[in-house]
Amino acid sequence: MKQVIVAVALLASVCLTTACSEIQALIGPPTPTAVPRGIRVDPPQQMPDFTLIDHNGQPTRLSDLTRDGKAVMIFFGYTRCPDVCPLSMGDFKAYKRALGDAADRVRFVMVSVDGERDDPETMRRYVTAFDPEFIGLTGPEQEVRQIGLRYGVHFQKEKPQGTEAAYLVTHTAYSYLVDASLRWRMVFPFRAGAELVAEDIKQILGE
Amino acid sequence: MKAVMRMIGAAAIVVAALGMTACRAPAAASNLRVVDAWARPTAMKAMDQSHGHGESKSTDMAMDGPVSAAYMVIENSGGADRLISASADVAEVTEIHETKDMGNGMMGMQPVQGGLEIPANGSVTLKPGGYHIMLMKLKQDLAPGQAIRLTLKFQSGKEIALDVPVKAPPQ
Repeated sequence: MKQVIVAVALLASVCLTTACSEIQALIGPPTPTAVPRGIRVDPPQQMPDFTLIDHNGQPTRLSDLTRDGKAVMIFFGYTRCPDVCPLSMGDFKAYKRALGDAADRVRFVMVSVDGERDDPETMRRYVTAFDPEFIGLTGPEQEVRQIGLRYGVHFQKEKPQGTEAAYLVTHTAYSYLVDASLRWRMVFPFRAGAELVAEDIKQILGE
Repeated sequence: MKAVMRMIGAAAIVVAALGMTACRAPAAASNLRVVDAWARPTAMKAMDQSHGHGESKSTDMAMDGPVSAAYMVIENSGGADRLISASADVAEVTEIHETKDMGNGMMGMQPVQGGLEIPANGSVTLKPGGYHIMLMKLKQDLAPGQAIRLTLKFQSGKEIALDVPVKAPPQ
């Protein structure tokens, strides 16, 4: 049963079509009272390497970030997002703190879904304001879209009525844990609880 | 006689109707109070327009400049009202937005159409992940310890101006 739940949840996170809504219906609405926690990718999924530009303007591969045996936590967001993204970066800080010594074995990365506006310098100011060790990656929208799709990440520009913003970006707000062998291991929902996330990451690091 | 009865009946209806109109209390005035307000520090410096290398990116439509958000609880011990707009001294554009779960892990942001209802004898909480006052085209960095001047305008014509401290969000 547990495997079924994991499989269904995983499908929900990677599905690309309108069937999504049906899967969502199967899972049901999120319980507002429970602290959200991560879901294991089981079996782990080998992910392709990718190259984007880091917040110092250097081409950086995913494998550069895991080379010294570190796992990588990835969030896809953008700097002109006033609510969801700062919340998620704030949560990254909390995860890092909750990891204690194990935090040395994890890199926290935000990939911009708004390459048009998020140049490396903008990313640097943004991510390092949360934590000097956080890493910002940016690149052409199409490349980020292709990378994101492998994780089930979607994003789209919106210009809703009643805003003067040039556009807003609606985007998947999950976080993803990739291990040192570039295997995708966990999906964490928006606002996943820090203690639970730290527990899960430590377990993966210990395997 | 029947006609008289009918007239009395009709008069009674008219009186009843008038009475009801009179009894319908003129919409009770809202009695608003804003508590626990705070604004998120900007995570990046405002675009320095004088610092450009000959070309100002900030004139580009795509460049909205940095953003932030203000949160608070609006309490109302009177009749219903509606927050219809806000302005801030540090932002060129201030909008009332709601962060929404669009399903499948997608989160989006939408302007609150028609304003934010403040129920009679109730309250509305603007908090991370929900309603917020979105501050756009910031004229300056927002650093913890500073305060911004925020003015809230309500449908009743009431205006509330307050100093909102800039501080790191509660973790």
